[in-house]
Amino acid sequence: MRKFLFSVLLTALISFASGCGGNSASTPVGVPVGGGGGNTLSITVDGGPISGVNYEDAAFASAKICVPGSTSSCVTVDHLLVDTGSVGIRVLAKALGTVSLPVETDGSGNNLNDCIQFADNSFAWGLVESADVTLAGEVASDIPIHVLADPSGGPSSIPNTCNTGGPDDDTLANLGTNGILGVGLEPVDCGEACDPSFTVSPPAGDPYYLCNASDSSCALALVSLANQVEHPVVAFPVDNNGVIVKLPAPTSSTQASLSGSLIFGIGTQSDNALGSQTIFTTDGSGNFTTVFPTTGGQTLSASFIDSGSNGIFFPDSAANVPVMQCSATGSAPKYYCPTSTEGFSATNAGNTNPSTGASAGSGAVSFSVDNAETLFATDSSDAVMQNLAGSNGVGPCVGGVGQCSFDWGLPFFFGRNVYVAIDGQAVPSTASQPSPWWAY
Amino acid sequence: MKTSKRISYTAVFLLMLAFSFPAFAVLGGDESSVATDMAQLKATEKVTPGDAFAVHEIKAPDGEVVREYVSPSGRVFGVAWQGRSIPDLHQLLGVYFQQYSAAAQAAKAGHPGRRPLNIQLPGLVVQNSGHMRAFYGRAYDPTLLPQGASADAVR
Repeated sequence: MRKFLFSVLLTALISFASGCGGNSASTPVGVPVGGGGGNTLSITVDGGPISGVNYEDAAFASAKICVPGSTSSCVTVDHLLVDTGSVGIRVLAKALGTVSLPVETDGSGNNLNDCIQFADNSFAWGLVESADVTLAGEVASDIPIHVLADPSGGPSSIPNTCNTGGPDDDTLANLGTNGILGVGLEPVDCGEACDPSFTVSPPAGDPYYLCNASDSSCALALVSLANQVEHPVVAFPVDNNGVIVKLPAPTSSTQASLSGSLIFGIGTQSDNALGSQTIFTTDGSGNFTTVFPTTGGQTLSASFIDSGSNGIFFPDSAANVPVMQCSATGSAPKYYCPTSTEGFSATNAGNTNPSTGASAGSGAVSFSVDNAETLFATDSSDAVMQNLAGSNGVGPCVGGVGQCSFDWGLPFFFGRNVYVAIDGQAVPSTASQPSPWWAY
Repeated sequence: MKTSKRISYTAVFLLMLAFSFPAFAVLGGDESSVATDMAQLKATEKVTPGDAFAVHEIKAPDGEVVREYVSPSGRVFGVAWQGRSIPDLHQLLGVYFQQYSAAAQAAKAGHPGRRPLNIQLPGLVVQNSGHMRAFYGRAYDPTLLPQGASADAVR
């Protein structure tokens, strides 16, 4: 069941207008692999959905999205980016085809819109709509999801507090995927900071806007937890306390594709037991600490594990790291270009969980960096690039301020089973720490 | 036709101009452009003077922070931010916004992916990183760095 701190009166009248039915998906999504059950969703690193464009180091999954309560007004959307760095389902309106989902409104002519921003300053905007979402054999019933570019007004209609001036991710070309399957550490995308039961005025960075359906004017909104875009796994009846991202090690440092699975639940089934993995606690921002390099390095206290980052990203001013930035005018300006493969070691450690005051977890990680220009030139059809890395900014990290994060993107997941225990959800009795945490 | 689902929540309407964060000085602008409405919006400002430059730190009640780096001549040569979202860069970058925006969009053109922002132009550096609920970044004009200040100061 949904685990919220309070109950919300759902006085909604959901009416299903005739004629809004759509594609009828007859095949189940998420074919189990490796003998997994209904809690196992197939994921694949395959270069993404755009023909001729290689979206490297990104894992994708499919979801069946239905009008709540309907078994016929459904569409199966492929190539949703599996993203442990965000929370909630976001899907391009175009990928929904003719399926028309009910929009969240205030009953006074205002529709609820959501905004998501990304580290590259891209942003996506669209309505909050309700859907039944099926992932493998699990169903999240009647959850709020974010439908991108619906309605499509273009960036000029998007408030400046959302529109960063970066790329507008409301198109397939910019988003690079049909949507995002956010399976991070939190149960909803904003939390209590946006809930009127906890907050009297919209916080800086409030992602929610009520927009007048007739004149398109928008104002910031406070939204109860139950109506915020929700982690789909939290809404499952079972297996709802977390996920495990399982991707095998590639047989070569570059290869065409890689298949794995997204397991729902931690310690709830025979296939998702918590074993000898190390638990790393996170702070209120979902971060832990990476010391990089392990010897004589900086203490990067705002580091994180993000399957949605398509590479390993770290500050290039960290001590002892040779200058490796690729040419600004070359084919890979955002990445590193060492003259030969460089090996590195970092040490991860848990940050203090603000609820318990406790921290746990420590362990070294080794990785390598290849020349990105060479990778893009010689392996342009390989979606899997184990040693793709880039800059996470320059400048020092002093007392937790400055360039203080190491971004463990998808290559970190290759050959590891990464557990994501969702904040507020129960964890197995064998776990040494309450959620949220990562384990691997 | 879209159906709708009525939900129960409180909407708080503000003027568009008052969105989310107190006004701050803009990059390249005068420090006097720090608006006086911070008190009204319950944000606090802390000024740390220094020989080479002063730091104005504006903190919203929910923890979002914008820092402005002001040269002895009163010019804002750098800004940095930390919070659950990216601040309004139209406002914060001022005359640099169009240049930044074009570069940020070009950085992604034809190459999908999610990675930190790192724009390095002769007269403008803009960097951003983080993830949902926890972003940080900075922007500065290297040609405006006052004597005795390095780019590392902007953080």
